[in-house]
Amino acid sequence: MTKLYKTSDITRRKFLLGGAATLAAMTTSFNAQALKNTPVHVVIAGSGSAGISIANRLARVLKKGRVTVIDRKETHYYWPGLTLVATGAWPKSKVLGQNADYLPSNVDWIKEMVAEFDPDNKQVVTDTGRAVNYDYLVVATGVEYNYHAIEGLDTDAIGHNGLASVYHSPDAAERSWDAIKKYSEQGGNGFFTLPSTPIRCAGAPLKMTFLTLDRLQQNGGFAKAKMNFYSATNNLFGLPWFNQFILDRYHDAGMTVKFRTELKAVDTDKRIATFVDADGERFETDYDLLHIVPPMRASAPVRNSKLAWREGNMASGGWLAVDKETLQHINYPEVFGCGDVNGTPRGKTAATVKMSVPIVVANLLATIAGQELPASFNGYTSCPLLTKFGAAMLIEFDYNGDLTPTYPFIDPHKESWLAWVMKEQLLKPTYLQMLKGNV
Amino acid sequence: MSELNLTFFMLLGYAQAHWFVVLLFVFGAAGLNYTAWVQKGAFFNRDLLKQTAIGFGGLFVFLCLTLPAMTGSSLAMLGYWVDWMLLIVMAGGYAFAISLWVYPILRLRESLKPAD
Ligand SMILES: Cc1cc2nc3c(=O)[nH]c(=O)nc-3n(C[C@H](O)[C@H](O)[C@H](O)COP(=O)(O)OP(=O)(O)OC[C@H]3O[C@@H](n4cnc5c(N)ncnc54)[C@H](O)[C@@H]3O)c2cc1C
Repeated sequence: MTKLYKTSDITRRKFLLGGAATLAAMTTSFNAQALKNTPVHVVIAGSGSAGISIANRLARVLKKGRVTVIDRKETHYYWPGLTLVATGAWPKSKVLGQNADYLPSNVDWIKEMVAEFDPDNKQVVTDTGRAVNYDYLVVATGVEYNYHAIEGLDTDAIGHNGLASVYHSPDAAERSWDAIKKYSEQGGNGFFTLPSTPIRCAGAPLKMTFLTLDRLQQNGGFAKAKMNFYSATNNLFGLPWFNQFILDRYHDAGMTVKFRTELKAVDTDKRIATFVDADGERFETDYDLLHIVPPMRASAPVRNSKLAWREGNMASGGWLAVDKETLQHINYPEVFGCGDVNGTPRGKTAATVKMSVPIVVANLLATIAGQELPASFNGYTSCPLLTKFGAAMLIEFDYNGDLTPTYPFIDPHKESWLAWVMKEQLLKPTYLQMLKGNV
Repeated sequence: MSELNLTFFMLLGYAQAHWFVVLLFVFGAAGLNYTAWVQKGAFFNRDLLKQTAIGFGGLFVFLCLTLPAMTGSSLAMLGYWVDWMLLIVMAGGYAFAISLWVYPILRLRESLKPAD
């Protein structure tokens, strides 16, 4: 196995002490010393939040280098806003942007998709057959939604006949609101699902449930509604205190919660969902609202490449095999991963991207400069858990599940208006600053 | 450190997202205050300051009562001291900002009054 650079104790301590300031200083010193005139070619696969943030930071430092971004997608989705679109609080237009407005002008943008990663030859091949060589590669291709794993599901049916799914796209989120609005007026059997795979923003399905409960109260359907949450995992949330809090809230609202119960098939015309329970028994149920969270995995080119985990619990999803602290590939030191594609525990959120981008950049620049990797990622993730319209809990934690509040005076265990204001008003501007490489 | 950096860029981003309102406010306040300043007589006037302070108080109370609803929430959801702090800071901030328009307008109105 290729030798990995180790984070020395001193640099680790420095990083922990100085945080962003140290990172900024490190980046500046690399810049001044060696990097400005280094003619390296860095390829970034994916122009989502991770890819664009990294492109902006690298383009500032690698003056003589070349940064190439590969992604066909031109419309930028502000994914964290989709829960508000799907519950009727935001218009769809608020989550749409143009990647061209966020990408720096001095990067090459190849509007194609990576079809093949060939790390042995330091090359990627796009879906038009174009081969692109690189000196360094950042994989930031996000997740692939595997709706096909649910038998009978056609994503075009989202928004119709009681079918909802916030995850698919802004269009589907908008259509999901049609289904949820109708349900909130008429009531009936509502089902919210959670798959067994890792998912991005594990709080989103829980927020969808809370906000639907609130809409039921507002629109008169609550008394006629029977809400259910079927999770294919052993819990609702990874941290025990919050898991219990959410469970209590759901029970208070008269909801039924089942664990190790996975959605397997759906008949969208007849409104019948088929689940498999903990004992492997299949059972069918009628629904008036079915909110689906699709199983997720890495996109096919990553999954089928030598870059994916081949063993361990991340192997089945083909997630990118990176070291969870340095975010450097475990076998190819010139390859780094950032964002949802990473096969690391917890943390597929924009908040994780925000915290890990400077770490990836610092470690990549150190690798280019032939120095030790200076930065280490603690697995920071965050979830503004909306418990109703107007209140939220700001939960931030690391790989170990330890709470890591950015603002120590905000108690993550308390619902607050402040957290709602942050989510509704401040997080999108902050996200856009992150894309520019500022935060 | 990181929370200061985050707060700075959060507020900068928020200001950028509302750049038109921010610019309108800044240029409006600067223009009004300059125009009031170059009028005859002292810029600061005890009676007008008093009137502005009363306006500030009324506005502050009004904003305290309505800001939660204006942000898609309600007063009933403020159950925690950081919420009350935020409410005071926001209501105070907006009321102060509006006073930066109100005072020079009062001052201009005063100076445009025909002399008795
Ligand atoms: C409904 C919902 C709610 C959320 N709420 C929150 C929240 O409240 N807080 C929070 O922090 N996070 C939230 N998130 C999660 C957050 O949006 C993601 O974690 C974050 O956007 C991940 O960024 P990324 O760059 O890894 O992936 P993406 O932003 O998805 O970008 C991946 C990019 O890679 C491209 N790509 C894919 N395959 C290829 C290929 N083969 N070649 C080239 N390009 C490719 C795609 O086109 C895409 O542009 C939410 C997500 C959803 C869906």
